[in-house]
Amino acid sequence: MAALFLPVLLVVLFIASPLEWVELVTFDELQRLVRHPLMRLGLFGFVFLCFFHWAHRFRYTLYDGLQLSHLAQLIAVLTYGIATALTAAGAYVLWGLG
Amino acid sequence: MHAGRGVLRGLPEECGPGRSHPALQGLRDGGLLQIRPHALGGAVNPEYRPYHPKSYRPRVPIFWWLRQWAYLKFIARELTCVLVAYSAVMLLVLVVVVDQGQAAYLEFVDWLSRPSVVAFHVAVLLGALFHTVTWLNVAPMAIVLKVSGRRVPARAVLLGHYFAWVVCSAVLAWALIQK
Repeated sequence: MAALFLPVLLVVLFIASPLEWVELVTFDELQRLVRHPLMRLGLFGFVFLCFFHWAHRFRYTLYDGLQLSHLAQLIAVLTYGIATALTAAGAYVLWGLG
Repeated sequence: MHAGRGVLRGLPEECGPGRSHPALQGLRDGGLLQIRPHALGGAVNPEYRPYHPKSYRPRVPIFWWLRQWAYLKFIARELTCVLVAYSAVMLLVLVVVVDQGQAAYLEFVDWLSRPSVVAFHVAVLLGALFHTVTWLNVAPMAIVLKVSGRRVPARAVLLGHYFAWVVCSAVLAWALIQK
């Protein structure tokens, strides 16, 4: 998911639009778009996958890259704990829109 | 040993994980064979491991991934997950800002247009592209598709993933950019 969607989101929302290379939809349309229930659901799914992808890959990078397999339990609790907290924060934000 | 892996009674078994050395198992010849030191009241070697370690694990230096380009590329690909999490957080921040109103949104866009922030996001984009390309390239190795009992060629799986990437990017750009 992240591999398919992130590059274009980064280009359009965080680089091209601020530099005025492209013009985004009007603010009202953008606001309507992010407040739409299906969009909120889709965004929740997307950020959930992104955070847990980070947790899983980062966990094994610490194990293998830094040879910390003896701290396996602590690292797993920290990475998945942070991913869960971020996902819960995302759910809270998306639930409260509008 | 018999064909059914049975061992004749009284014969020492082959040294293996969880078992002791054959010399230690031949207990009837205590005067001739190796006997554990503590059994004789002698000093016990603290380095001694009864039954041997289960596997040999050589020490690997922390920076083993700097030794070869392929290892460095592997770790770099794994670390792009940090950029994925950062982008997800930024997406949520953008959603909150848009929800708060136009003034907050314009302030956020103003911050995004600062040269240092743009430079950082270009670096994040390069990392995200590396993430995308490397993950799409491993897709044919991870996914085995079969149609009518025949395996779909790896090249077709790869092209299918790249096609999906182009379509997803085009649809999102079409939805976000003013027509």
